[in-house]
Amino acid sequence: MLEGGIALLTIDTGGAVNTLSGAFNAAFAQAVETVLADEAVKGIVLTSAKDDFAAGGDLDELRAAMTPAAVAAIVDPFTAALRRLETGGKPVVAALNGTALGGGYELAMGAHRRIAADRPDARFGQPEIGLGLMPGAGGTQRLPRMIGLEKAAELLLTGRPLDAKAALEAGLVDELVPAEALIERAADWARGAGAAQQPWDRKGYVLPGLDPNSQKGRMWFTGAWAKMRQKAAGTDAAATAILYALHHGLERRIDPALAIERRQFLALASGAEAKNRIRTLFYAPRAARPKADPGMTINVIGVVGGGTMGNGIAFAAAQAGYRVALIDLDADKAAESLGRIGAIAERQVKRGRMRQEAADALMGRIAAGADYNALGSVDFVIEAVFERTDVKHDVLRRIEAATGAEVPIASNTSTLPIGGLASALKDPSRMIGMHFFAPVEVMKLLEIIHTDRTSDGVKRAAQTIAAALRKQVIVVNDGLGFFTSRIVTSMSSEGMTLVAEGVPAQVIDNVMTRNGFAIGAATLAELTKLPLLRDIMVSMTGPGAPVCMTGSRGAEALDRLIAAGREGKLAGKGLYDYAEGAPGVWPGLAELFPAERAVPVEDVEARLFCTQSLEAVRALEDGTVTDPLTADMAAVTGWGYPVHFGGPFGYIDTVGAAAFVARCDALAERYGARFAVPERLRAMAASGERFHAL
Amino acid sequence: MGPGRQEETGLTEAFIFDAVRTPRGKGRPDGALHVLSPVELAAFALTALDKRTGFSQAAPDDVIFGVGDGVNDQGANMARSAVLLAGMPESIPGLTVSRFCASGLDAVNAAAGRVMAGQADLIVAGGVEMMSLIPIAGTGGPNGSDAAFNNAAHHTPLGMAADLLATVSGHSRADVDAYAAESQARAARAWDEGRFDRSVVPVADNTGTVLLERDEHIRRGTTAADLGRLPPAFAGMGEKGGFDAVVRQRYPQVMEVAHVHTAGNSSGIVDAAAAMLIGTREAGERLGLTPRARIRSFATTAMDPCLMLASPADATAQALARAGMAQGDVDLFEVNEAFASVVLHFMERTGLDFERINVNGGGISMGHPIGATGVILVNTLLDELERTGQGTGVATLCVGLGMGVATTIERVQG
Repeated sequence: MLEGGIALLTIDTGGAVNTLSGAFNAAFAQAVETVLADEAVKGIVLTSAKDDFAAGGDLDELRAAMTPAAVAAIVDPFTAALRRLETGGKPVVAALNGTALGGGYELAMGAHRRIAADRPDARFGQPEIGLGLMPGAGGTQRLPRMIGLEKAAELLLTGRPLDAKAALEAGLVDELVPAEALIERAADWARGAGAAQQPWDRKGYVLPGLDPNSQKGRMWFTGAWAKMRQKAAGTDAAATAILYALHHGLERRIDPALAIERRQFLALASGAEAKNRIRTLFYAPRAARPKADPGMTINVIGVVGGGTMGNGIAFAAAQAGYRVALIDLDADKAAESLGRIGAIAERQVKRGRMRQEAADALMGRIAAGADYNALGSVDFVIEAVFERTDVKHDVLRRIEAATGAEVPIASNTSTLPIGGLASALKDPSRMIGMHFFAPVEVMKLLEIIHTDRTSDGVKRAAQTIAAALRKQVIVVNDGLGFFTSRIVTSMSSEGMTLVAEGVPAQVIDNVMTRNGFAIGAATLAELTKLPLLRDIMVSMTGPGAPVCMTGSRGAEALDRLIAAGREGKLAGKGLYDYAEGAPGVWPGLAELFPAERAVPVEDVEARLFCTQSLEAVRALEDGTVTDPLTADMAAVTGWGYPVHFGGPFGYIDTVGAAAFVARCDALAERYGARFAVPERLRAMAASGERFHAL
Repeated sequence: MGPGRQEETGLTEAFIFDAVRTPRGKGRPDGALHVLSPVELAAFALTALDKRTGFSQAAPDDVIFGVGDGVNDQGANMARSAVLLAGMPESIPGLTVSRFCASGLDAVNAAAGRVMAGQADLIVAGGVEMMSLIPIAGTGGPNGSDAAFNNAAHHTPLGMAADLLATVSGHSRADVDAYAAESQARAARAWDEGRFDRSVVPVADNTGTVLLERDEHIRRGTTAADLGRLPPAFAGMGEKGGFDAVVRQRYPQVMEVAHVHTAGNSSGIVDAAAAMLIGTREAGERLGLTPRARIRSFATTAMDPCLMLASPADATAQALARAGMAQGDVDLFEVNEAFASVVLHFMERTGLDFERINVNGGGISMGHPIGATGVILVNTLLDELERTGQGTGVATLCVGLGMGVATTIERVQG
């Protein structure tokens, strides 16, 4: 209790930040009743014992709630307590000592006033949509009643948090004060506020901004819906639920409005889409965090190869604090490489991601040349030369000759089996695969490939470097295309097989983009360049070819396209024409590949998705991957697999194994053995087992 | 003639005795009818019909009006309101019906159905829309603003659906503009030859001042080249507004939506009202009226609400099947010119010759007063059948949310 009958309610949950769990919610509800009942309490200040105010709900708990009722059990006491608090007649002020996000900011909106400590690192807002969720404790109703429909919708639909100044400007915070004066200022306000009521509980309250029932309001909702569909097609259930709750909630008084938000939230939070997003976007990156070996000393990394990948790797390694010895073909090429790495650094500075001094220091850590003797003192080598076994063999032998026998050697390759590369070395146990993704300085994903001979020390060294580079790793066992390229190839191959059957390129693209891919298989082929994709198709059909290539007509289609002078977007001529830069239908495609039979659009869609999931299951069966969680994450971050499905494994869980198997059986009958269902999956269909329990 | 019952079905026959319409005023603040209210315009049409038929003194069973957007001054019950404003007997009830663009034709069909079923002897079917006052979709509704409904119904604005229909049908800008130019030419010829004289009644206000004598939307001498200079009307909502992507999600074969429709080849925004007297032969005899046509059949269909506008061919086929007729038995067709691509698509689907369709122009040249259009189509069709001495006709419209309505009529002699 503070002076003048002001009760101080301090949030202090377990853990580093305040997370609002079911237990907290119950305790909070109890505390609210206590202060409301205590006649000595004239006003209430809400604050936190932590550095933040409250960072949001407890995800562990929420993701485990599999039914609407289970979600309700968590959130209902909180929602009810907020309503009690704001209608209890006593002035309530949220003293926001730090960040208030999600449920934390909803808690603040239950107060009659929000006073925040003026600190640059504090953030305010409702970021729930980022995990496929929406505010479930009044956020979609109180925020627009405070700041109007349009401003609230922008924050709710993007999830964009605001810093203190922006929050003050937008009306999320009423007042900014120095941190040390926060509690006193809040208590002062509470002492002087008298009987407090929320604006929306006052008679004659008028919603600020657009009214959903006005012509303008309805037009706004139509436009917002179209924009949402343009961006996400039907893959963003949270955006639909938020628009729905805003529309119907704002037409009603606050209590029925909260009921409308509640049922949208319960359905969303217990639904597959949110579970998929939370798993893949929040839990998988944790599981994919590399395990650095603190006992390992790595100071200098050798990077061989001055192409895009070698430059990116050198930049990322230097950024992580390593010294880098970059080996290129000759001195001129090495100088050009340094120039390109400098350009990457410049971009980072320009975008505000790096300071100039840091960029200068980074460049100072890189030495480039053509002499392999520079590798004499390195602790680890990554080769990133041209993707051809003979070229890599030659380079690997030269690395072996220049380095100490204990120095690990990693190959950056997207498809070539590491065991085959390691055969060039006297000691194949030194060899590991590190498949980086371009642009290396941006892409978080790193696929680490173990052969059956890779030594434990080499594995630990690769993990240590990955940790320093802040990568998210998927660890796989050796095989043609590893995991990522193997599954991407299944998709590209199916896309090109559809082309060979006479399916228009835009159908292939559109059925993928409407399901959440940023680009479809046809456009991906255009950007890859058709001749390169043809080489990949051929390399993936050799010994050890995955089942997804059975009956593939990818190489055939690409051969005919290349013979017709079609090479892809850069050439201005590919599956599409590029008259004004934008892709347009190339009439020649239909002439080159007349429709052999009618392939229903649903089948086009099913083939492109099922082939990826089937190949992923086969990769799990043959031991290439061992963990569906990081494999799904690799799909989402590696090739833009739609996250609302979780990933190729999550897709099967979402569809249901039994339904998925039935679909694949039908596809196998119509389109061939590459859709044959692996035994493991058939067993799962019978037992109802899932790849992801949560 | 017989007792007015069709022996084989036991149903009463529904006859059209007469019909009137107001000229169509521009649906803008400077439109000639804009200074009236919707109930005044509806009452005017009722009064005009009453002057010619005397129905108000013959205890009509109901007045049914189609209204597309029944809200504000056009809301509640336009039919009963118009009866009262017109000073007709208080004993005449009224009903409004609404099915977007087909509201007027549904009023005709509802009236005919009641008569056929033996539940009414005499009904006025009419329609009114003052688009200058209440914009299209002015009533709101879940379509458009409700995200969950939009997902389920794959919400597509009318103009986007028209451009999508043109895209999947392969209609070029030149095709739709050529159609629109012909519509203008036909409407001008029809006016010049007095083909509408029997039905169009000049609108006067309460002082007796004539506000409008002729359709105001028509643009004489419009050529396809003139039309070709108009900017596309729906490119903005498609490209910037996101609807191109929305329709591609439903129709993945579409690479690029062809935004071929403009203000010149889409139906005009206008104000108008129309009214038609429908009843049994005996009811007509009591008023000394001779039946002009019988309503043979009608039908309602629905399809994908995204492509939306391709239903007239289905509705027509179903209406003809109900009448036991074939396409070849029909002399003339009135297919509402909501957008040029709608009629072009209808011709492709049916294989019908343009010479039998919309012979006196239509919505593109003269305007499409949503709630009244269905009545106007049947009226125009009947006048033209009489003028040319032909026998049967079909009136049909495409309707929002993917519906279609059609009505078959047949002239009767004596």
